[in-house]
Amino acid sequence: MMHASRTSIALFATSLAAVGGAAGFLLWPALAASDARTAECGRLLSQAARHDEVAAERDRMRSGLAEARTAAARVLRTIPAAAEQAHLMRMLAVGADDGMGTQTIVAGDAVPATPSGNGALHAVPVTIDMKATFARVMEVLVRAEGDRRLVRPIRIEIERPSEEKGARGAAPSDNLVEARIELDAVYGSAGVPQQQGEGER
Amino acid sequence: MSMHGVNLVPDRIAGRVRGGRASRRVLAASALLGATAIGLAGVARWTDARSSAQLAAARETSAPVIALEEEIAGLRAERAALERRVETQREVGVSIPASAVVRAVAASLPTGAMLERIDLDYANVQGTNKKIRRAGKGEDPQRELRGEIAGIAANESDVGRIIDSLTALAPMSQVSLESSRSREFRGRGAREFRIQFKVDLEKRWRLPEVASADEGKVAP
Repeated sequence: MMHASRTSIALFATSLAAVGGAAGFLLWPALAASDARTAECGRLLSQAARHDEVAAERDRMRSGLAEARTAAARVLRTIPAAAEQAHLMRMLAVGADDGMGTQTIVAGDAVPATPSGNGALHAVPVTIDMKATFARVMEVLVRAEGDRRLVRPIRIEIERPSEEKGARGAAPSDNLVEARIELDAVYGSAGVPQQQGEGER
Repeated sequence: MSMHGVNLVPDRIAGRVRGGRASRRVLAASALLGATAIGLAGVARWTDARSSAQLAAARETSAPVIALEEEIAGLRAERAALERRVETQREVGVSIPASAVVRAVAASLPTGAMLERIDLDYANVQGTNKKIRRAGKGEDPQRELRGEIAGIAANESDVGRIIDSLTALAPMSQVSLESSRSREFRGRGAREFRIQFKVDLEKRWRLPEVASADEGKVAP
């Protein structure tokens, strides 16, 4: 009966463990990583082959975005973080002249910008009572609605005093109309990025 | 005389010799396994280094495309942000300006007709601080513009013409004659009329332009 020494058997067992360890802890992860890297290489190289196509898409996106920016600049209003009533008053005030009788501007308490009250947007209601020519009334309305700031109409009443009233009233000057314009100036932040040059101009 | 060989080595010594031989064989096998383990580690390292080098080369080759794709992602994000802002304006603002409605109504009047009153009510646009109980919680009611005009026309056919003109305007709906009656105006017979109309503000009308659009620039 042959008996190898205990030392040699222990060395054999150690060598066997070393082979298992090298295969399990070094070779297998290296092969797995290599497979993943090969797949990634394939993806990257196929991407590289699409360079012209991707560049063309980038150019399309750039020109599309430039057009969108131009279109948005024409229609997009700013929504300031604060009510900024001073700007609003300056914008709506009209100097007295022949076409302008009286003008009263009253700002109300802020209300939620939408009926559901969702979001962080609010609106300052502004009421403008005017006695002026139709043209001056329209001027105020156009100025408010055309402003860079988001101002929306809520109620507009324009009335020409009747001929009977005019007869009782003093002046024949009265091609003036009576107008009540209720507007909302929206403000607050709803995660809407602000625009350049925002605020009072 | 017998010719058989005589083994003079004692069994103990012979066993030790056989044991030494077996140990040498086991040691040889161990050495082989050890060499295999070293070889496997080498192969693993070489594989790792080679795949890393290939990946680095591929990354370098595709770097311009990756940069392009990152730029495209940035452009997409910017576009989405711009569209969100436009949508916010659609939700909060109104697409039909009152000034445009007044102008359109004035333009629809035939010669000799005159407006005495114009009311425009943008319903369900504004919120309120009062608590209101609504069935659809969190949902905004439909926004609409309710308009009413009153004035004087020369005759009934002019009133009809005004209604036709208003009906022909794209945003207008439900244009209806509320009343029409004879009246004397500046010594002549005339028709006093009252017309109502509605505009659906929820439709995706083209947004009105900013008067100073050329001044405004949208931040990139």
